[in-house]
Amino acid sequence: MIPMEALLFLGCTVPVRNLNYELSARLTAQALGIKLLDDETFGCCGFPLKSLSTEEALIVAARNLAIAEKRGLEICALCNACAGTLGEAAHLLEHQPETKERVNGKLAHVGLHYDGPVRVRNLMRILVEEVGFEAIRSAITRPLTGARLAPHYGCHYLKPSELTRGFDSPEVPTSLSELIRVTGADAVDYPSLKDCCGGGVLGFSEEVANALARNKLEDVARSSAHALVLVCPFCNVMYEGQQKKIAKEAGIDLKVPVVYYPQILGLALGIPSKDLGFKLNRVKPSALLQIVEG
Amino acid sequence: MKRRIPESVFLGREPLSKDHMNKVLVLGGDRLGREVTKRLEREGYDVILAEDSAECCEPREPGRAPVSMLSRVRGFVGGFTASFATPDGDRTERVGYVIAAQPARVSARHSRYGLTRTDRTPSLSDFEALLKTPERLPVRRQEWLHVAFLLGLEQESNPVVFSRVLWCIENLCSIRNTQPYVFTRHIKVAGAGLEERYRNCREKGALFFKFDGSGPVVVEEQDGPRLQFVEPMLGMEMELIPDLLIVDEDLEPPELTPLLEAVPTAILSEPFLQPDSPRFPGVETPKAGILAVGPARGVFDPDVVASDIESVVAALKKDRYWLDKAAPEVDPSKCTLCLTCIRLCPHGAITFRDAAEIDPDSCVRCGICAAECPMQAITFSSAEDVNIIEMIRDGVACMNTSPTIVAFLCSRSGAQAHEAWGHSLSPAFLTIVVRCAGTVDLSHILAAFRHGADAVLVGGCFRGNCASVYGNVLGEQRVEHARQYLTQAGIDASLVKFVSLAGNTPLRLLESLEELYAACRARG
Amino acid sequence: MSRIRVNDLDPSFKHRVASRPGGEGIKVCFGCKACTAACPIEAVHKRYDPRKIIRMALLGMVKEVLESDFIWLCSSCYGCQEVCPQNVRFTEVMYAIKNLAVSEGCVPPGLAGQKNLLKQHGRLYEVTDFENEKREKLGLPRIREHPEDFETLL
Repeated sequence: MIPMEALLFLGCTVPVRNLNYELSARLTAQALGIKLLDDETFGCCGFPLKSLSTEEALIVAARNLAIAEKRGLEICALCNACAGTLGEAAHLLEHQPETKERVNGKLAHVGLHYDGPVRVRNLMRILVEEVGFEAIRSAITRPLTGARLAPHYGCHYLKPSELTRGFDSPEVPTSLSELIRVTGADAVDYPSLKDCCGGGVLGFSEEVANALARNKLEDVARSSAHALVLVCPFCNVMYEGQQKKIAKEAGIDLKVPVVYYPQILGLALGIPSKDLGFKLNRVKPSALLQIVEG
Repeated sequence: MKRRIPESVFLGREPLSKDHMNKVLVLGGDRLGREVTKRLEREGYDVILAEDSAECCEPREPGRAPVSMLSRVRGFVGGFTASFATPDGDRTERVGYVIAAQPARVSARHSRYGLTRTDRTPSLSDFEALLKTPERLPVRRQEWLHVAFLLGLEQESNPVVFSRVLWCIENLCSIRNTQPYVFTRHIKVAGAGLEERYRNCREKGALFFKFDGSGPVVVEEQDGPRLQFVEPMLGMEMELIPDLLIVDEDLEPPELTPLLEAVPTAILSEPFLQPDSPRFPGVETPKAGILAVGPARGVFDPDVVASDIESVVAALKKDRYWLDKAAPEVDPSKCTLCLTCIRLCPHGAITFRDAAEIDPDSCVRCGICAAECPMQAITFSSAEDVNIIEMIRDGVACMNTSPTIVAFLCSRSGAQAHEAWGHSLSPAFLTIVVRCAGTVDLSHILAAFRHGADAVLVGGCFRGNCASVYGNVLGEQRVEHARQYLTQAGIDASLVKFVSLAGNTPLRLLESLEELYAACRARG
Repeated sequence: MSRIRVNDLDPSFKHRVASRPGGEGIKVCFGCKACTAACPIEAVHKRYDPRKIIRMALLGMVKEVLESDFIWLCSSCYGCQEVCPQNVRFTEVMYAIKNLAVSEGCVPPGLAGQKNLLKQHGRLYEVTDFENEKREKLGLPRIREHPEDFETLL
């Protein structure tokens, strides 16, 4: 295991609404030799601006990249949308010198400059590429044997594929399932595995967004998985935040526990569930915790 | 067949002559004919270019009387006699080769769409000419000039016509504020660079409407044509009033009557000189010395036409190389001049004076004449073509299996299926390779039984694949004849069969042989 | 239903979309419908059909596209972009179309609000003392807002 450092990019949602994700990410990264550093000047990644102006989104993303470049560190994002937006901006600025010049003209107003490239990955990709499945497996002290967990990759985890090439396939993704398997749990396959959560349209049509999320929640409920495993707070808004409403509107009974991957990795690494923020999960993954901690 | 007599080459009584191998007649006064001429002259051939229009300018002027028109071709490669009608009377030329290189006949399809040809609704050719002088384009009535093309709405679009439409769009896009529309059904991009040009035209802004169901209705109003249609992707009712509506064209082969009469298989391939067969991929026709370039053989793609010109050179050189090959021999004492051989030779290789005479350069030694001759006057005597009857006798004699099966395999199909199998067959099978399935006649089949065979298989080409055009059909007919013969003699006819084969059907050969084998075993 | 007159549509619209970053690929679409088949939104809401949106834009149906509510329904999942055989990059095209709608005054209220939040807080969710106390209790570092950069940049 090679010790590494990265700047932790929390984004807007995680540090306010998903402290369980942040807590477990910090603890598991530390346990596996990844030193996550903070930078209090990071702001929004730029994603919410894209529909209004891709140019403004790019500038806001470049601001964060410039901050990371100043620190001489790569970025580790927790949110798929943050990783996607920052990664896409880095890719664009690397391949379009005129765009970079234009963006730097803007950044100069806030005393920043970006040469690049700065690498951007989400935590799972760093776990896979820097730590490796074998090293994680050998660090497991409390295998989650008997646990059945359904992975949800999320769209921006692997797409657009030009940003994630060589890591995993958007057609047949395997990395998260494998990350689940190294904890000793079973990775549950289900029909809507690759479906979108619908979070992107929640602000415009709750009905459409809920219809998307409902499909997957029902699939996972049917699969008798102990929990749905996420890596993105945006997806969490749909699967955890909207779950009660979806169930109520559809007149169905839904109680699918939704957890973050670092939470279950933390359990397998022997970290007590109370330190991993399980208290903050809306639907308690009681059956899962029962298997692990008795 | 009627029109062949009395003008037919087959009844020519001139002695075979090979004095003109270096002289070539090229038909077609347009660009293609001129290109072929230039290319052959560079190779040292003496070329006569028969122009069939007064001036060889393109596009041709309709209704203009041809200057010199081919009326008849007789003879064989190296010694054709070509007759022409000219304004100054008839004229004949002796040439070694005749090459059909006339341009395609182009006809606009206005009537198919219920349109009349006007300045607002020109044909594709009209519009191509217009684009060469863009100042003649109509004055735009609005900010945008709307130019619509009709392309293959009644049937599949032709890649060559599609390529011409793309050329128009490529030129239109350099004209400010011009919006091209293409109304079509199935776009065919099977041509060099076509897919890329199609993409580039979309990139430049051309809009394509691809109809699955009913296409647009063209209504001619006072202010010009209107296209009314249901947008195929949106399902919305729409209407376009184009400033120009360009009508596509049919491409047809040129008028080839005198040449069709000189190529005996043309009766099956009209209006083309060449059968639609993989055995004729280049410019050669079944008749040696008569070649078809481009439209005359149904090829309109300029790239393929260009390679046709090179194929002409190769074909001419190849024929020279073959000059000294041995022809089958006709025994004049047996020939009764029944003309059966002349009638059935797919290659037009036979003429007669006192007896049938076979032109060695035109003959491909398929053996159809020898098989059909009721007097057995035609024989192959060269070392290559060993007597088939002897092969059967000697072959079956050294087999001691029971049952014994004789398989006649066409050199181009059955023998290749055997070769593709790659293993030796059971010793119960005697294979005899023949030039063509059409060479196997009743005497061969009966000889096999007489010398001890229990069953006979004839393996020839699939329909449409025979290098002698219908040798396989004749072979199959003869097998049927043999079966009737055997039935009448009280023998089980299922012990003789014809199978269509090719180099890629070794299993079919094997299965057919095994079926015969099993049938023989079942009989004990 | 009255016929749409193609002559009244705007042939320059597709060129305008294509001239925006991300919109470049729109014109090469040949209508194969792979995007529609891959679209999760279309699966639950037939009015959102990527192929139809492209077609309307190509035909120059400016009002129908820019003033529609459906252009805001793209979840930006990139499913269409991954399957497109002509590399239209439809997710990016949708951003170009949405940006164009915004520049012509068609802005959904939620979006404008998000931008204001970014200007005020530098982030989508305000971080109050309450949030920071909660974080500290859990052993997490405090978050500070830096709206000044966003005020300048936006």
